[in-house]
Amino acid sequence: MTDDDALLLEGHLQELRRGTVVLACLRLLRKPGYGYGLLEELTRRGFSTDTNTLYPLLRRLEKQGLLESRWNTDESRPRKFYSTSPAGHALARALSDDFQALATAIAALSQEDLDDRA
Amino acid sequence: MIERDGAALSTTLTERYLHAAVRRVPEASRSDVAAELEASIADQIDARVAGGESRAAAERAVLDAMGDPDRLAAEYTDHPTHLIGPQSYFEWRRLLVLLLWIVLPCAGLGAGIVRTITGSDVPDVFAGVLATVLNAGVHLTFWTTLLFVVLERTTSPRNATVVPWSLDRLPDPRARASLADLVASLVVLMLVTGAVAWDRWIGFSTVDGEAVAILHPGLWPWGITTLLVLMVAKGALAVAVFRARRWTMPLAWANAAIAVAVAILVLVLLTRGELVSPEIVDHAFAEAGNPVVHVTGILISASVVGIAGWDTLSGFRKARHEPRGGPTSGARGTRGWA
Repeated sequence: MTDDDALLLEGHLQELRRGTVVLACLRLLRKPGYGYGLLEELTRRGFSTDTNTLYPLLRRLEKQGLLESRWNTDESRPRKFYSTSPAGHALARALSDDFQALATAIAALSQEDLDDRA
Repeated sequence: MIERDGAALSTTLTERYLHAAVRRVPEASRSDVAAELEASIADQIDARVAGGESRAAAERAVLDAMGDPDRLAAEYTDHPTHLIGPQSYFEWRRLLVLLLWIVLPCAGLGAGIVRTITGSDVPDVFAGVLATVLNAGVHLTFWTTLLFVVLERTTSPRNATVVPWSLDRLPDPRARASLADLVASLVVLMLVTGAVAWDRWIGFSTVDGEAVAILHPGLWPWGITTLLVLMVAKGALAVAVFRARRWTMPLAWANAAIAVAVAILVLVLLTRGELVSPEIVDHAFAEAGNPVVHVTGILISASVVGIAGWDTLSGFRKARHEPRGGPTSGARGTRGWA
């Protein structure tokens, strides 16, 4: 694969994954979490994202009322903890449903595609 | 060096990175963003140090992985990170191309005529035309772009994506044409003002190697003031048409009044010989004699009357054809610059 192909693939993968990070955040933050912990958790679960994307994203979701935040100063290093708001829960449910529907639709697509080739 | 000063260097690096990343974040949330990022960077460094890296190397690796702080800052900011966005880009391009096509040939032709009349030799005429066209092009592009940049930041609905789209929100081609009309009018008025000032203080033409104003020196200050007042009125009219989103009969009458006033002003000044600098007239027509001066005067007068008449008529025509209601008569086709 040439560099151009790799870039092209990377761009399309990024577009495909964009919304899934939002959904994963909204669902993971049912339990309050802070930025770095969330980053680790996302990576561990196979949602690759980077700091540059995650922190502005968390802030946007907070601004949209989908996340709530508070500073935790109990430990030596103060951290900003986020948790999903009721509106965020509702959105996560809707997004999950839609993702399921999409996954089903794409699965059906591949089946037809395979049938055609056979 | 890096190894020995590792600790000091690493704090500096983090601070510098944080500063670069949050400097464009709105003041209200800046310290909050910085504190959050700082904690995150520290967490990531700790993780790498726990994995056996030196603190300095870990710091470098973490900050390097976070990437360009300007990009991070752009993610945080609410402001558009472009001069002219997709909403008005095509309008900007269409208008600019049109203005350049109209104004540059006129400016070049005008400069060529003036230089030829004042008796410059061929290379001088050529250089003058080139300089004028370049000058006009740069100004036209700059001012048009600047106006669009300002409009982009003042009129574009920031939360356009939040408002549900509906058929009623389809852009009205008339309204778009009006915006283009408005920008075009204002740019042309600015250029005319600039040209008058240029003529006064720098001079478009030279007679015997000396810069000479084309306009009669006696026009300053009252004649020019009258002209400026009329141009401001013309600009205000363009704004009024834009705000009303269409031409109305009162606006057409106001347009006619301004056009007639300009025509009368120019004609009176011309017949009294107070419009064009006598030096230019003498120089241009030194060998031609009175009949040529006479014919030229008639030609200019006819143009002035023609332009005023056309301007007046087009105002009334637009007012009559603009429907009162919504864009029901869109089939009538594009108007103005569209």
